[in-house]
Amino acid sequence: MGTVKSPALEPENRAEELTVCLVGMPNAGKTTLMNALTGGSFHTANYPGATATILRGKSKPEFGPTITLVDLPGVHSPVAPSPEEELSCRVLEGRHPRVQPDVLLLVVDATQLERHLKFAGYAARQGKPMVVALTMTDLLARTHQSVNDAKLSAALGVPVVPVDPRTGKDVERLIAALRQVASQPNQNNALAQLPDEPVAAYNEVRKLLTGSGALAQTVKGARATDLLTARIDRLVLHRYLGFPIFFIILAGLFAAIFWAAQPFMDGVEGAFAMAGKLAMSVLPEGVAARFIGEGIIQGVGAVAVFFPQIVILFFLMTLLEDSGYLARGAALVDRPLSFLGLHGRSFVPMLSGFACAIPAIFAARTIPARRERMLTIWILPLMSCSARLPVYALLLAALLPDAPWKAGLSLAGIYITSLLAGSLVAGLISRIAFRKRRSLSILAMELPVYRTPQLKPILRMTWKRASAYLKRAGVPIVVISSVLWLLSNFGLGARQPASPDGAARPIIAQSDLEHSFAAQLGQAMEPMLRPMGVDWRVGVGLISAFAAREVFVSSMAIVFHVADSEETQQAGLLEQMRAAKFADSSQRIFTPATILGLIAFFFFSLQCLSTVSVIRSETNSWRMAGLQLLFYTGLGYLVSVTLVQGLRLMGVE
Amino acid sequence: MATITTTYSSLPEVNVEKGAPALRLLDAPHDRWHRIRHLNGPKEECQRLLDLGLTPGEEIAVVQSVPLGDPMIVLVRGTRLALRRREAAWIWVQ
Repeated sequence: MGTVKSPALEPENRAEELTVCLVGMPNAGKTTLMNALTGGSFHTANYPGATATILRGKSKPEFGPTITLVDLPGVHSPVAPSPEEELSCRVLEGRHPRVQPDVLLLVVDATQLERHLKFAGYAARQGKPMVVALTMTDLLARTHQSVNDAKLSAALGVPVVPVDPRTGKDVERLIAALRQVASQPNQNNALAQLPDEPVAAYNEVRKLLTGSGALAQTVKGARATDLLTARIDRLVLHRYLGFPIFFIILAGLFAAIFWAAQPFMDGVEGAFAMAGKLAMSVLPEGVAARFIGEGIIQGVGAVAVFFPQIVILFFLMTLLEDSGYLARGAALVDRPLSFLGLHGRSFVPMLSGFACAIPAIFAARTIPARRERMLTIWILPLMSCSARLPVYALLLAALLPDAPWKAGLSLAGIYITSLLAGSLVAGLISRIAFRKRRSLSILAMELPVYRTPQLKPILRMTWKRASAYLKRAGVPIVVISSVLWLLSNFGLGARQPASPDGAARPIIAQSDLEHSFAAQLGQAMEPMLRPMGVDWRVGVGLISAFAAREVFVSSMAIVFHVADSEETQQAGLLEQMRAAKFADSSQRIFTPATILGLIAFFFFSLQCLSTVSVIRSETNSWRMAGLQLLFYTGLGYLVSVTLVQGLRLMGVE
Repeated sequence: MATITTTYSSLPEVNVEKGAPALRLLDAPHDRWHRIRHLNGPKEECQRLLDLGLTPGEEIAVVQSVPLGDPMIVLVRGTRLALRRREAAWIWVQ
């Protein structure tokens, strides 16, 4: 991605270059065509304020003068659009300030001509020159249809080019057609004459198709449907087998995220630790070197560890999406989810939330109704993301030192409980807060034809999504971890031990963690921490966890003075934690009650400022992000205190 | 798995008797073609259904329900759609 000049901020209109927008309904093969046209060298362009992903790229050099290609999200219908659809509609209607296409490239599924051409009518009415790319022609045999592109082109008054984006066949013809309409716009675009009213429009489309002989059925009396897809659906949506298959697929997904990612995560962790040390040894010794080495490099490393999981998640999700199964999964769980006020499509973000809330929030873009989308985003922080895993591992090891299997079982329990808690919160909010206002809610979801997924485009798409994630989440992660490093490494000069030569102390000075601003914050919070049964040192851990939850583990090691040797760190930390006592009494800090309290706190609280910042930008609302931060952190605190005090009342220390 | 004997392209034809009573797609028998008569439901949702191709006069068939019974899978204009029972109740067919 290094070679690309900040795409989002560049003006669109450079005089000579042709800009072509790919538009169409979902599953028409737009992105595959984009791959074929650009040779895969496109990137996601997140326009500021837009809650959808636009892909931008340049045509392959062998196709002649460069054409800028923009792939817009698929649109089912401009009626009641989702944010993704809304964005495409804005471009089509010329209401987008940055994307102003010269030519529209309508990608049309040959097996579903009526629906796709009806949509094409909407696009054509906006008056831009257009070319139709006919995809999925290889599936026509499966649906007993045949399409004559010359007749279709004559009937529509628009060039029609059948292409096979998977092999790149006839893509050059498409390019030629695009150049031609750019200089000589369509003369009699019949699509532009289609009425806006759907019933009349569909009648017109059918008249155009059958009247011209462009569409014919190869088997008399047959209706266009794919038997293979019907058979697979009979199996994967089977009354008894449907859910077992669904759960097996989910289990495979989880296994891949947690097991297959492990070696890569260790690699990333090691690489960042090394880079940090290297930076510190290369740079002149001092605060600056430590800031870069520890604060920035290792701080970012703490979050980057999860990148392999996110890449694997994106890969498998793209695979499931491409094969056609993802829509079936959404259909399977639509009923329980819509009962909770969510949507069948909420299941993809919820699933992603178990890896990381940030890609999960992006995934919520496909949910059409605003309320269901907001509610989905609202409960995502509850899904037990993998940053909580090291924290739970430490706390459970402290709670159940002699029985690793009990700890493992408890961990599984925590995961399931997080799903149940999310459901409960969604159900309560949709019943209480949204009780009065009626809102739009519609499924009517297309189940695409099953196709064998192709590895290369999937890998490409995975990389695009992963790098878009890095771009979007990277900045807040760097900023937040820098700020937290500064807070825990600097303190008021007056609080620092006097220097041996008796020099005057500066107002703000370098400090160890115990005398830092973070410690001061922790001590100021101590009255609030006492009900949770912990002291300010744990408070420092909780504050530092706002950079990323698992930072809790490393700050605990610092505040409890654990010697820094990699292998023994956890064992040493556990020992220190077991021995830790309050400064003013001989009471131990980590008792079963307080450990359970801490687990409850991590379970609920939204301790991830990167997530908060992404919620802000996705929902375009500080209110939503702030409310969520307060709600979950407050809830975590309340539950934690109630749990600790309740257990103590029952005699559990 | 029992072998699949019915293929959707050979579903029984639409009953074209004049004056056949209208019923909701929700209650209509599965695995046969019906003709949409009209939509009767919330305005915006119905407009979206119309736009997706569920227009009066068009043929539609319910081919499957998912394990929990909702949504149901329908076939219309060569497309498989997952429709909620709530949505199927807005669609009146003959």
